[in-house]
Amino acid sequence: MLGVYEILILIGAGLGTIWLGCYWPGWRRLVATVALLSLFGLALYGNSLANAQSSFWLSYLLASQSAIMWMSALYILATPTYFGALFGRSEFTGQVASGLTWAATAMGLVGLLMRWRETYLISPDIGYIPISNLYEVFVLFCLITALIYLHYERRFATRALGGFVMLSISAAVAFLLWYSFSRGAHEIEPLVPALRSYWMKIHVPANFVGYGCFSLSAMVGIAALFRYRADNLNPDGYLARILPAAVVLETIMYRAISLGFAFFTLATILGALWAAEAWGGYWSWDPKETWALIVWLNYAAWLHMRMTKGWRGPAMAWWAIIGLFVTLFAFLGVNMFLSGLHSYGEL
Amino acid sequence: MFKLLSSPPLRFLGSMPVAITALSALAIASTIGTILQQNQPYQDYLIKFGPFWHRFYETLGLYDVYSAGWFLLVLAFLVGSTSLCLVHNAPGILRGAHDFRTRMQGGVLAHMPETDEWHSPQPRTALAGPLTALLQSRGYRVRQEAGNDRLLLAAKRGSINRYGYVFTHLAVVVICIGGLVDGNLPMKLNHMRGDLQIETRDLRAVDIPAASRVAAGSTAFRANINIPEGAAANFAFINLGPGYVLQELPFQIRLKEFRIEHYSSGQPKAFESDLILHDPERDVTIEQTIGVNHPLRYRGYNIYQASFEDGGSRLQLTAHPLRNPAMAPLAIEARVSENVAVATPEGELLLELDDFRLHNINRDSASVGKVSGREFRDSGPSYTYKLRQPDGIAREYENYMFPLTVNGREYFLSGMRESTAEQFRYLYLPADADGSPQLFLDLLKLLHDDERLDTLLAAYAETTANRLDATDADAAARIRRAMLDILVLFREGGFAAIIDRIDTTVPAAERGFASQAYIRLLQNSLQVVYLALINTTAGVENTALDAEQTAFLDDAMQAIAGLGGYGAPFYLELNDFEHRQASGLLIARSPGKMLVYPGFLLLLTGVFLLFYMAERRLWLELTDTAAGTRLRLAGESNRLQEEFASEFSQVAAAARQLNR
Ligand code: HEM
Repeated sequence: MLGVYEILILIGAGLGTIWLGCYWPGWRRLVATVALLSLFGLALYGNSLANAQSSFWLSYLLASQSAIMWMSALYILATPTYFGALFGRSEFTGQVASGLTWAATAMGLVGLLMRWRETYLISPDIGYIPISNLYEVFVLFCLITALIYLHYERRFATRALGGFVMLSISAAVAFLLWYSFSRGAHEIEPLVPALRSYWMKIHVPANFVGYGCFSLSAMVGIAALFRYRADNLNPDGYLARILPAAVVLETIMYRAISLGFAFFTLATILGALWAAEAWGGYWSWDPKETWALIVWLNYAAWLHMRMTKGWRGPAMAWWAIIGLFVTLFAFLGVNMFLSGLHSYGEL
Repeated sequence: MFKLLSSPPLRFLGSMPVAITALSALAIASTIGTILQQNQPYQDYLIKFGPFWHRFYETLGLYDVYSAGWFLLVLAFLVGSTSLCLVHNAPGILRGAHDFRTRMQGGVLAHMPETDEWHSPQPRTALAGPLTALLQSRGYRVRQEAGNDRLLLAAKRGSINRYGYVFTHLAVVVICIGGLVDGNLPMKLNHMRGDLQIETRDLRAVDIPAASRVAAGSTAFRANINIPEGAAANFAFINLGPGYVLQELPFQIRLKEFRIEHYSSGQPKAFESDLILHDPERDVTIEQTIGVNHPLRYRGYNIYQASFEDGGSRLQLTAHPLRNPAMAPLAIEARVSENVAVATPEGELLLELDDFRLHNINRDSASVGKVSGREFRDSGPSYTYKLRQPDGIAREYENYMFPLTVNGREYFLSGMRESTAEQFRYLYLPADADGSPQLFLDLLKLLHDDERLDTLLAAYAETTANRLDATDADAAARIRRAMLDILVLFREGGFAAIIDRIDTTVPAAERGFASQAYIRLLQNSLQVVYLALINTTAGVENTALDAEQTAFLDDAMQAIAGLGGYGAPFYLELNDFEHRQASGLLIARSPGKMLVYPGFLLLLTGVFLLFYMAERRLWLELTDTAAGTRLRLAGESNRLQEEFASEFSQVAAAARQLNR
């Protein structure tokens, strides 16, 4: 079943969960909810996948596919709610939006955990941690982006950016739904031999913290562009009143990019170590690797401009937005248009 | 030395604009390398781009961007620029990290990002101790600077943040140098100096000249070798430009067995090779199973499972003539990758056995859309071969050993294509009740035996004419001729020949009717032949076909119709085989790892220190006043200012508490 490294990784994940819980009450509630729902789901499943059809709770709420559908619906619902709160300047609507986002995240996590069990129910020799194909990592992307956003929402005490960030998550959800319905991507397939490695389990999440941060910074970049316009055209106008100050937006952008950069550095290094074990070299200039380097260089340049030249303002916001497209290409474009060793998740 | 390093040109080289330019150039070059597929056979590029652009791209080094001279130059620029940047900035930054900045004056302090001010009735001397203790208890290190009427407590923590800059930039330099050590630059230089010749011919290892061999040493390389089961090698091939060179190894690798493990659902789960490594120098023998993600490491060499292919399986084949019954079935025994000359009545053909596959696991179309994984089905062994005519033209074939079930009926599939750019077009030979193509082949043979056909048809025509009570004395003969005629037409040219005949002999208005009549005649005639065949074998006198036999005859008719386009004078049947695989190993040495891996660690540590260890400074100025002491607290942080602001207000609150 699980190797030594897998167990170490799980212990690490557990410690990380506890550490986050120490200073983030929302995270504690999330973990408790997810744990309860998942245990309930596990009990309902017992030892038979067939229960997914016969059990009401599984088929409408907890089976991975149902839970992920709930996640999708809730994230999509959260988007207009956040915007409603922003434009209506309603504290209550904002709380509802945050609640929806937390609920969506919980359902997504439950979905992944149940899927983990389902892979073993199909056949014990197939079982794997479900962060291994494009469908699963899209769910992971939504979860991680939402969590990073919720973290900043609390840290900077503003819900004004929720709509913007949820826009990118909704786009990911739209892709997920299309991918699932038109390509049957949600079906569980055994891992190809190259992906049967413990490196996968740390490389992929680290990468997605990076992707999540970069997409968040781009969405905050969009909000910042509105802010700059408002400051120029009508500093006392409506838009200027509802959006956070430019310096707050710039700080969040910088924070997200530096967090993303740190994790992306980690992910790329882990990828290199994995490649050294699976492909016979820590760096092969494979298209995916190379695009990871391009993404990394791009944000390194962004950070330099901010730190050493003190750049602020629209140029940096635009750069963060363009950065998202570079990242998107590294994440999806490479799989779609270029061929290489990273063959998982072909479209 | 230092003067040179800080001369204006080198200042410029280490400046941010140059660094950003080098970063961008690297990114653009890398993009090119991903858009144009790298290190493909030159033949493919030539076909894709045409001779002119092929030459152009080759000269620019675009087929191997990452080891092109100009690319290495860009890298060198980046390394140089980053190193100079380090040399210029690191001393100042590190000095700054150890400086408590005790010379701060009140005016400057008032403009710090965080400030607070209050008054205490107590004298400065009574406050200094507890305040210092307070700062220290919060992890700050404190220096005191006393003046006439003032005392400055200068405190800082997290100065290790400054090392983040040194670590990250040093890491970039170290990693790049390590990467350079592991690149193929030394080999390229050897090639340019003429010490190493690139081999482009397809030679056996022993025939490769010394000039194209690299002795086992300590340089970096990545080389490939395919070893068949039971065989051994002490060398591997390095792809270089348009050809390859041979890398010698200080040990021998023997492949005992190659295996593919499968999931219970059928897809491959693991590729594994049982290797025996023997090192004669050190008299060491290691037996180990390697697999994807599980390489064998020995003396700095890493041996990876990279691919697999057929290693020369022995096939026992029978060539069944399709067009000329004069040729007897021919038994052929050969290994995959061998060529066999086959004499046929139509001339000699070269049979080139290309590949053999033990399993053909395909998604079962019936189960697509099921939630719980998909079902897979193994269609059994298949093999591919080419038939080459004396003029060099070849057709490629793909045959399955066992019949495949298609729409509930069983067929032997044989695919043919005229070039690798095409898809295989399949011939479906119906399988008989024994699961063999024999019945079909017998039928075909009988169809080509004009003498026997004639007797058969004569007998049939006789009874038919009698049954019809034909008054015409010639009736039997005419029926016989018509049947023989259509059978010959069909066996030589299929349906196309019949349509041709109709088009040339029947007026346009009557063609629809005529073709129906022709097809019925063809079916009848074939049925006569087929009945005769199965009656003789079974020793019975049936006059009609059952449903199963009708279906078989239909399939046989379709198959015969397809023979014209099949191109081969015989059908190759696989009777037996002895499977032998070859494992594709990648053997690599990368001594640069000794730099690159520590570089990784340095980079990670550096990034963490830079982003998450803010350097925080506090100054507490105590100035004597008539009524006690005026306290001014100021602070700044170079990162995470929001967190610092709350820390600052906590410190201020605690410090005020001490006043009373
Ligand atoms: C591939 C090459 C390079 C990488 C990956 C890199 C990476 C970084 C990173 C991640 C930071 C931290 C940014 C932040 O604090 O938010 C940084 C800061 C900095 N870099 Fe680079 N860098 C590179 C090349 C250079 C070069 C060539 C120079 C010299 C011109 C340079 C000068 C600086 C300076 C002065 C800082 C600010 C340090 C501070 O004040 O904390 N970097 N670099």
